[in-house]
Amino acid sequence: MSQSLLFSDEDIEEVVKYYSKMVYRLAFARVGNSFDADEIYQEVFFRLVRKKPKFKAEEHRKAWLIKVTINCSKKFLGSTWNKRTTMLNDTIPFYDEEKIELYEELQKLSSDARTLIHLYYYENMKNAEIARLLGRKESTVRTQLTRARQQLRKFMKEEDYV
Amino acid sequence: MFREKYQKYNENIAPSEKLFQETLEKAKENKKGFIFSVKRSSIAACTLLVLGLMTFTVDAASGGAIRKALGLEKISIYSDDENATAEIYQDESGDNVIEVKDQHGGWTKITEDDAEQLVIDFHVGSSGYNFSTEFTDYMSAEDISWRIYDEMSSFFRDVLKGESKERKEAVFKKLEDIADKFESEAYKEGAHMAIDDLKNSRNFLIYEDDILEDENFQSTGEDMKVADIAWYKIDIDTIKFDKDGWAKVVADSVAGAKGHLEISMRKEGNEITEINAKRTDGDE
Repeated sequence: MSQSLLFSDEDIEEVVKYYSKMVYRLAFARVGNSFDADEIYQEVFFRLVRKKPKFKAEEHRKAWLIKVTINCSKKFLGSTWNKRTTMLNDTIPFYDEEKIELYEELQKLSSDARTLIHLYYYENMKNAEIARLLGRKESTVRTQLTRARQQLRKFMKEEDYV
Repeated sequence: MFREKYQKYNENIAPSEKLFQETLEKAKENKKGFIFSVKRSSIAACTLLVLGLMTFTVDAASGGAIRKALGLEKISIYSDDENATAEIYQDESGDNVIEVKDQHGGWTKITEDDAEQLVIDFHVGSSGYNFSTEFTDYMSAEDISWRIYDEMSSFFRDVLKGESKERKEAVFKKLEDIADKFESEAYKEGAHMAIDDLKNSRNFLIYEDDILEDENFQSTGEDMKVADIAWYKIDIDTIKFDKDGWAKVVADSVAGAKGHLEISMRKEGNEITEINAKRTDGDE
């Protein structure tokens, strides 16, 4: 069921506040470091301001922001700059060992696999929703997610996440 | 459960308050202006090139012209480091220089909020060199930084073309000295990367292993053994690309191998997208 708009399209401050962490965390999941996530984060909200898309429902706005975050990071991941840059160790926001370990295991997955993991486990989206958002078949998403889980299990050598 | 673990993991991941406030401010203002949001290494590279350009070849008058053209009467630095500063000043020799200091080495931005159209027009003193670059539409921060970087690199290549080996070495030495003065390791790294790019644009040093590991590599000659690892040198000026973007060159061995390396490569835009190599027999 569609959720009516929580904010007007003009109420940009509230929109940024509300979706701030969602956009940032997805960007981080895709690029794996804070510096690039910072850039993508700003770019996404600037696009929102510039393009002024008209949303009919809040879930439409959310989907738009997720999609644009993915697209912005896609462009970034393929850029010349990224291919030539080695990230510094101070670009991750973790301090305890368990989280650092999970971060390192996640980085062994492809950016696409990390995106699926993030949308499923953090955004709590169903396979069908992810499929709609990414323009893929539901069966494809299911297969890709299963594969991502298997890879992660292999890396982590534990069974507690399936 | 993994879901809980992952949710917890994400608790640490959030935009900094500064980033959030800055984004909010910009979004509220709905500015159309250009936003320079440049990674620290690329800002270092650009800054280095600006510094190098200005301290090397620009006299005081044209330095002022650059400042005016850039609209950089005031540079605002937004950084994690509240003590970050940017200054435009005349050095001892009267040259105008831009100095960016960010001790923390964190998030750094230069903004030019009111620019509907930004024209960077460099007229480099009495040297006769100049270039102009214009941003008439919104470009992403990354595009802008790379465009400036490319323009600057291209400028330097032009400046250095035809110069004596000694002059080139002196220029690189001076640039490296400037790079070493950056207090931030990230700036240093970016600056040295920029200098290496400049150096490598004059001569390619190709390592056979790199070619073998290149996914586009197609072996057309005899198998290369590990023991045959060698350096080959190509003078970039000898590379001529045809209308389809292909070029063939012969690389001379510098050390460790007999003979030559015949290389064909394809260029799309500014990038080499395909390289095929074949080693000739040393007795050929």
